[in-house]
Amino acid sequence: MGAEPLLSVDGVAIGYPGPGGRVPAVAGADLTVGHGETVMLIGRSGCGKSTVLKAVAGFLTPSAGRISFHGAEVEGPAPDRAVVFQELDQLFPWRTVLGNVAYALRATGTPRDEARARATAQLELMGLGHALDRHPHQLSGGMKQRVAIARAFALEPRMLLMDEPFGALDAQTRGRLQAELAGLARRTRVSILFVTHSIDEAVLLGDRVVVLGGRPSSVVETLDVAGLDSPDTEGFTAARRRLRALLSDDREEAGRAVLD
Amino acid sequence: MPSSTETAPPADAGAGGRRSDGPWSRLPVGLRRSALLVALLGVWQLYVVAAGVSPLVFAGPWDVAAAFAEGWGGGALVGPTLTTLRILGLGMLIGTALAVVLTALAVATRFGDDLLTLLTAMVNPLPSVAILPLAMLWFGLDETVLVFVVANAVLWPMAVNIGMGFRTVPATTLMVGRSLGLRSWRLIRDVHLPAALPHTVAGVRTGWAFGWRTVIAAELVFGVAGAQGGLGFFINEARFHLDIPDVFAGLVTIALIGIALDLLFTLLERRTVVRWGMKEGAAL
Ligand SMILES: Nc1ncnc2c1ncn2[C@@H]1O[C@H](COP(=O)(O)OP(=O)(O)O)[C@@H](O)[C@H]1O
Ligand SMILES: [Mg+2]
Repeated sequence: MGAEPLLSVDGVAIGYPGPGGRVPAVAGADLTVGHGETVMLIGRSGCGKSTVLKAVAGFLTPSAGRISFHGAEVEGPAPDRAVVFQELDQLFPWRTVLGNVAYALRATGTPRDEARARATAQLELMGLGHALDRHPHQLSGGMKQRVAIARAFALEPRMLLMDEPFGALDAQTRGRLQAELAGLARRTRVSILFVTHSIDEAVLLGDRVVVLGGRPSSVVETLDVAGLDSPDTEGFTAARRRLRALLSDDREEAGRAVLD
Repeated sequence: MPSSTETAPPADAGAGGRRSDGPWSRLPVGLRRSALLVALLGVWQLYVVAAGVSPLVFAGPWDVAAAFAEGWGGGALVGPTLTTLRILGLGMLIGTALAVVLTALAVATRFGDDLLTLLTAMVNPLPSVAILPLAMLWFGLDETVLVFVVANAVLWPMAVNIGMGFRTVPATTLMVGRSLGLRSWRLIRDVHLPAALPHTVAGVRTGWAFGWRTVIAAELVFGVAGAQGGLGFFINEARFHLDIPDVFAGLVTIALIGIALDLLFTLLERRTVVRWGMKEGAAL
């Protein structure tokens, strides 16, 4: 493990074109993700978490600051940063479950037979062996997200970018998928940047939690939560309390900003 | 998932409907339609026999059936049908290819977008046979004229539909494609085109219907070029020779091919976008 983090986001500002010019969404994002680390990005809805993630993925270009990944500046999307979205329509509906994963592998240069074999193995590992030939519209929400995660892992990316991948699922399914993801991350040692608005999810899955707040937003605090994976422990409760305080501060601040 | 075409007969005999619940509506829908067809044919035959209309202007169903069987058995109808279908197929192929290229250009560049919008607005309201005289001027008295007119008829409704499909590809789907490293042509081929398929299929259905009407109309006007005329020409020839049953046999052939092709596209749709859950109200 070198001294250089795998990903570093330095003073990044991003805006969206609005009716009267650029509207800033993120003013100062600073964070790093080390090799093998899972960093959670948390904040109120609309504070710019997805915006930061999309910039790291290469879909948005920052108006200020620098994003460097694996020693080079990010210039566009590439499969070394696999993305899992919240939306359940991220699978190609015209391909089967197996086809979706195998296609991703072929598109990134794996020969056809090997792609099929690796896709099958990854899907079986994730308990989807019985659904290989189904089309996405025949799957439940949890299964769809599981396929999307299988696709991302099959690519063996350096980093996994996840934008509230469990946000649209019921609590029970979410819990099961969180546990599965934690297991996979531990085994593969992949680095993860994970966007969430759930405090428990952040503490449970993360090594560190980066809190985004304000409008336009910047990083308010970075919290170390490594090893806290049981909600009943002292450390977990303390981290949860701290994050809750930070997030409700942000809400009050936002309210004051509206009154000003 | 294969589902039956016909809805169950009780569906339209439901309470609250305007229709009375007579014995007629209790019959299966297939039987009702066949009975109606037979009755209409009977009335038609009866009218021809009883009223004694001149065989030079009207033919009874029996004569038409005989002419139809004769035309298909003897081959008089086979050649023209094949000719028309060949022209239609060629025109549709060219029109579709052009539509894809034009739409891809429109999606890729602002200039292409403006061009397509303008061209569509200008050409679409024009009935496609209307350019036949111009085409004859450009291409001479050649089958190319008909192919050109059909291609033009197919191109615009297809371009409009494919363009709509391209523009409505979900943002997430596109981001997934781009994050796999797909660029330009591969992104269009592997993401835009399949994602736009529901609109494309709708475009093909509209396009072929336009093309079919146009090719028949153009053949009626254009007559014969080269060795073999098409169905429109066949009908015109039969009229010229006062062979009224043949005129009707030609019309029946045109209608039957129309029904068959529409069925083919329905099947195509069911095999693709319906099977993939990409079409609302999946049961056709
Ligand atoms: N495509 C867009 N165009 C304009 N504004 C946008 C766009 N996407 C997001 N925004 C705005 O940027 C801000 C941050 O959005 P987002 O990053 O999606 O927030 P989060 O993911 O934290 O909920 C919001 O105020 C949102 O309205
Ligand atoms: Mg978001």
